[in-house]
Amino acid sequence: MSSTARPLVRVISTQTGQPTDEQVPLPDVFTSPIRSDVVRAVHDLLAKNDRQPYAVSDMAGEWATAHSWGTGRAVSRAPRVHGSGTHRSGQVSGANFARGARMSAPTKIWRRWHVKVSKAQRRYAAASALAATAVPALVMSRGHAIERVTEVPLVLSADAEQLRHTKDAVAALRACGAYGDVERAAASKKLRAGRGKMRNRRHTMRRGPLVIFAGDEGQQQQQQQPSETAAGRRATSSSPKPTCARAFRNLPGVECVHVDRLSVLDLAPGGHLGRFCVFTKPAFERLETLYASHKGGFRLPRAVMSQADLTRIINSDEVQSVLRPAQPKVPKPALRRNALRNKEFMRKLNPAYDAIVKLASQPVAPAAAADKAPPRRSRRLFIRRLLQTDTEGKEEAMEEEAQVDA
Amino acid sequence: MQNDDVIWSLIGNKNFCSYKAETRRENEAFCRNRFNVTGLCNRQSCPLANSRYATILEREDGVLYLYMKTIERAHTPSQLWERVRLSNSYEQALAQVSKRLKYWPAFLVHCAKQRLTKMVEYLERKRKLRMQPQPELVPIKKKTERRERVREQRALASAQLERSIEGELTRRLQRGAYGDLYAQGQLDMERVHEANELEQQAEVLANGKAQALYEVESESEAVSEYEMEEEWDDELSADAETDDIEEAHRAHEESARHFDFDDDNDIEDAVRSDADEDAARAALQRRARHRRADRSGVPDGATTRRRRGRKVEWEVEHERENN
Repeated sequence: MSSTARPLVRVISTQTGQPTDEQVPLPDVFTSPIRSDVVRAVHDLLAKNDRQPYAVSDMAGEWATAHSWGTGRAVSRAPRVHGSGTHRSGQVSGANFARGARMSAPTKIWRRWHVKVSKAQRRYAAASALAATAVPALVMSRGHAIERVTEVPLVLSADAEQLRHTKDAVAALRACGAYGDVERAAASKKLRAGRGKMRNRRHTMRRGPLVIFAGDEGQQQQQQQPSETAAGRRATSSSPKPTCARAFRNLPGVECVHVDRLSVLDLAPGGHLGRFCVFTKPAFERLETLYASHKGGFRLPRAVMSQADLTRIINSDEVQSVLRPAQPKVPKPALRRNALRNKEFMRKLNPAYDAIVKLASQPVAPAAAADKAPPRRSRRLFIRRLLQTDTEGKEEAMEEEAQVDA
Repeated sequence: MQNDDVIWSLIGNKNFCSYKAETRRENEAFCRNRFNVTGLCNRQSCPLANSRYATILEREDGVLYLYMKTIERAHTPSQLWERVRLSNSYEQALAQVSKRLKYWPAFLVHCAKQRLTKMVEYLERKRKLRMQPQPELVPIKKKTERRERVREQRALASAQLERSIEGELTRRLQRGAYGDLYAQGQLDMERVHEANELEQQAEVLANGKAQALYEVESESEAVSEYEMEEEWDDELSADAETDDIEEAHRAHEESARHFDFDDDNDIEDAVRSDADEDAARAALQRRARHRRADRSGVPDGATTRRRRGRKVEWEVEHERENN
């Protein structure tokens, strides 16, 4: 994709939802190739990093010292529990098919739960996923309700960072047409199917917009007086500064993330490209520097082919102008067919074929009256002659025939 | 950035798209996007993978619009679709589509016109259907039906139609609506006559006869099933020959049930006890009183009789005056 002409993205006002006069050039990262394969792979790996180990108890099913009775006792050769005096004695144990025994391949906690993903891969996937968020078609196909959104990518004016109350956040989202997606998420809240209900995963719901902020509140103005007490100093230094996330985070389906910490897991949930992202202006501008090519060896992803449309390449002036003229097409000799059997081929060779056939099928003109010898008579004579064996009879017959003919 | 082929490669075929509705057997999928002009999920029909697209939608009730989108507005979803209201006339709408989609890809023009045709046709059908009376399907509720049927019968029984008709007619007679057609006293006499007969029945019972003496009183020509239920009066049999028949009748009835609507007699009793006899007698006397009384001014529902609307099915041979 050519990087010379970069479109300008309009900044939307949080009050009116209409474009303000400000415009931000589209950061380069949004022109990264959209690689669904990379995104899916990286997403699947990164999703493993949030796991908690699970395993069956390591001694489960192996408490009984069970041994096989061997052959000759009219029972299977499976290991059996020792002892007597209880139902349990003699029962099969120590095999995966036995009741109350250990499972086959018991799960272990030393399974590799977390996977390291190289920085480059993670960044590539994040860049790709970011690029996908700027394509309205992909955002819609992922399922977000953005039909009323003013512009994609949605960049809110810098005063969005100042929002602290949820109702202001709602007003801002409504104004720019983004609240429909929040409503979609809210409406989708349902009880989870399955045991997750009782494992602290009670509800499921769709993902709504991702609010991306930079935490840039104009902190110059909010410089606090250095506190005099030690406790006060501790409080101011360690407590996180409030951000607009507070205003947005309680809305159903809405997630808030700092632009420095964008992850594929947020940008392409489920490995599906096109999360609906709501940027604040500072965050949007920050993307340009974050995903810059020369930072620490990171190279902005670029497609292998800048123009992947082959048809267009072939028909372009640059290519057509250096091609030799097309050679005349020599027709391949047609497959030979037997004209006597294949009527079509016969017609090709002899255009008059149909006429000849028609002529041949017409009834023959009636013969002259004199030629019309009574056919029956001669036939009878003929047959008689044929069947006669004695010569005399034959002569007689021949005479008769001669008479008739005359 | 916005490249149709790239988009299609990401959402088409076997990839994921939230609007895709796949069928199990066939290779074809449907598209649930409301802007899709064919309803199928394929490269040419996908509203997401085609920057230049047109479709026909019904925006309000029966009003068709041509929707168009172009790549220039692809980044502003709220203003993406341009709407053109189509004429109510089919021919003119077709012309509008042709004009608006001139120089557009032939596939889109063709599909838009097909869709327009289909929609115009179904709107017409809809209009026609609305003009015709549509049968409203109402479920039959068994319980309700059963309950209502029984109540109807009871209501009919307690309505005492003949009585109210009689009263009304009498009232009219008294008011003089019939002029000289009937003598005033005639009806009264009949009433007294009936009352006397009923009293006779009471006496008969008092004499300790086990069988009930039924006298048929034909109140109307036709005996409907409700009437059978309501009053089980036999025909007046004045003739001697019918007396024999009546004897036989009585004998036949010996073992039959006594079906008395009045009082709280248990209908199931096959054998009449003394108490029953007394009760029956009292009932008959009451009826005599009622008969004698001028009931013309009394509203129909004021009787003390209680009717039980239970239907008992059995065969009875009646001697009827008319036969």
